[in-house]
Amino acid sequence: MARILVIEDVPSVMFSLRMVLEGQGHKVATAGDGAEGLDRLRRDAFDVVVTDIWMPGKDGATVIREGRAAAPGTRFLAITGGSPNSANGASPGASPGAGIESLRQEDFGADRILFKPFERQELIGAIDALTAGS
Amino acid sequence: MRTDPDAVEAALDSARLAVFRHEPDWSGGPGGIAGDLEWIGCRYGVDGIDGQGLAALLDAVTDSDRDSLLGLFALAGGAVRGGEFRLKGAGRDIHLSCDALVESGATGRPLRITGTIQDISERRRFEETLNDTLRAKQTLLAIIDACPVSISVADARQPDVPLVYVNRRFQSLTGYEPAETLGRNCRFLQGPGTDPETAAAIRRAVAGGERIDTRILNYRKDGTPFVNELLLAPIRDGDGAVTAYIGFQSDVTEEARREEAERQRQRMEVMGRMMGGVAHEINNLLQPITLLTQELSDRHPDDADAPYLDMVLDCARKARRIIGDLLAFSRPGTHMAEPVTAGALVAATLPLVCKAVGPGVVVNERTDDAGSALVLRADRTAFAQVLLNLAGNAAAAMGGTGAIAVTLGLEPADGAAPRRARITVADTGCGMEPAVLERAFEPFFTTKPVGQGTGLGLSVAYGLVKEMGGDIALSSTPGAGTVATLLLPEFEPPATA
Repeated sequence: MARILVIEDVPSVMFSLRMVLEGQGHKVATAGDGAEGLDRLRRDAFDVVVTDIWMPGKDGATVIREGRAAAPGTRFLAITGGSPNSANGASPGASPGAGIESLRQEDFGADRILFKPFERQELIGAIDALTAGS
Repeated sequence: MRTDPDAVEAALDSARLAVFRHEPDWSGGPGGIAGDLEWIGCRYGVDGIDGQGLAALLDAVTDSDRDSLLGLFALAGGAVRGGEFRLKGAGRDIHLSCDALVESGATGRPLRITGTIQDISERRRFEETLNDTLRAKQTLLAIIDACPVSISVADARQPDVPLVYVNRRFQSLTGYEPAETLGRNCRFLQGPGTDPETAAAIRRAVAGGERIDTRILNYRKDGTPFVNELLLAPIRDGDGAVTAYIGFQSDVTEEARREEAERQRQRMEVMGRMMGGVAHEINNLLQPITLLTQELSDRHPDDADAPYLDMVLDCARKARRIIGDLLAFSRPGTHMAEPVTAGALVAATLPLVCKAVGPGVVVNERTDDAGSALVLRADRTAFAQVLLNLAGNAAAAMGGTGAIAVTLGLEPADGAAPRRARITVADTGCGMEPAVLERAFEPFFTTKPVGQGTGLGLSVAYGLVKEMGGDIALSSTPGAGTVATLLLPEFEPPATA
């Protein structure tokens, strides 16, 4: 059983993540945007943070960077479905012209990354890998 | 009627005419220089010589003209003689023109020579000035003629404003000789693809005496079209009336082709951005569909309704693949050539091609491993543009129904040529006659009805393929179909030290 914080602005995505993770017996907390997620992370201890990348306000890459400083022991799983403003889905600060390849290479500072829509087993496997040995 | 000697004197005075009579003395030799030169009247620059003999006149003549003078008094020669010679003057030489009548004696020798000498210095000076002016004008004309810009002049005072001058560049640009152009209105350069609106705008401007700066599709004598960037400017006389139109023509076909390629690229970029936004939304919708369906399946493994859930999941996966395909082809950035395998390049573009050719057209793909593995250096968007243009033509040639075969293979190295990916797009459509095939890559050459094609598709494809360092060729059999072949060279990474 792991303590997991899910940061995601789309309620139906959040709901489905929680259903799967709680179904695996994990303890799940949620935040609807980056700022709220960081607040939560500074108050409580989590084994894994699952965060969306493209969110209004604080984006996922920033959450991961600031989150690592606040909680050095926490592992980060980035999930992304691409950017609403470009075809490549690169992070907001990425250089213009960064292609699909650079998206595949870019990790947003996360320990792992999943591309939406990923499958239930991919999510479970990623969490297991991040919590293994802890 | 009696001649009034005073009147003759007065006339001679004003005409600056001198009259002489000379009776040569041949006893001294054949030169005939000796003898009496009698001045009947002398009113001008031979002052100081009048009253003296022929020797004094000879002395006064410039060295270079002495033979000219001697000819008048020579032993042999016709009865009527003429010549010009100059007297050495203080400032400038005095030009004299001499006409002489020679009376011969029984021996055939000149017995008496009577002549007039006229001062033509003023006339000569005027002629020199005129020559200078003409030379300057001719120099100017030669410069205009040699200008690397096409220049034409049309006479606005004649009906229908005909061309009255074209320079050399105009001839090389249009292929017409001056004889074929002068006297005609410039509109003979227009042709079937010329935009009637543009032609009307030019007519209106000329009729109104206005300047116009526009682009118009013109045709060379051999029928090839070119985009003419035309500047027509009126030339006015002192009263402000338009007397002529000067025209400057430049061939901007290449520029127009590049602009069209850029417009296409921008359209695709906009489409790419739009699809990125759509993909983000759809992915966020597919996420809960996928996870919750799988969670339900997992919680109810033996449920009789499980196949329904599998079907939902299957649909979600298909949707995910379509979104992935759309994203793969389009992405921002300008012409970012990058190493990519030919197989990946074709695979990323084909889904888009399938969607673009319409529901009636099937796209069959055949690739071989050696061709797929070849690494090229290419811009995905540009490549997609090329394949879309080729497939679009193929679909149109089949009237929107049929099959397009896309193949990818390896073209082995040949002499200096590196290994190349051979990509073909074949249709079973109407094909092209040799005359059409020959011109297929020309900008603005289209067989489609007005409004259904820019005539730039293949031209743009050609430019993009050349940019990739590749080649493009067409072969066609009328009634049987067309094959477009792309050859793209293998990318050789720069050697690292």
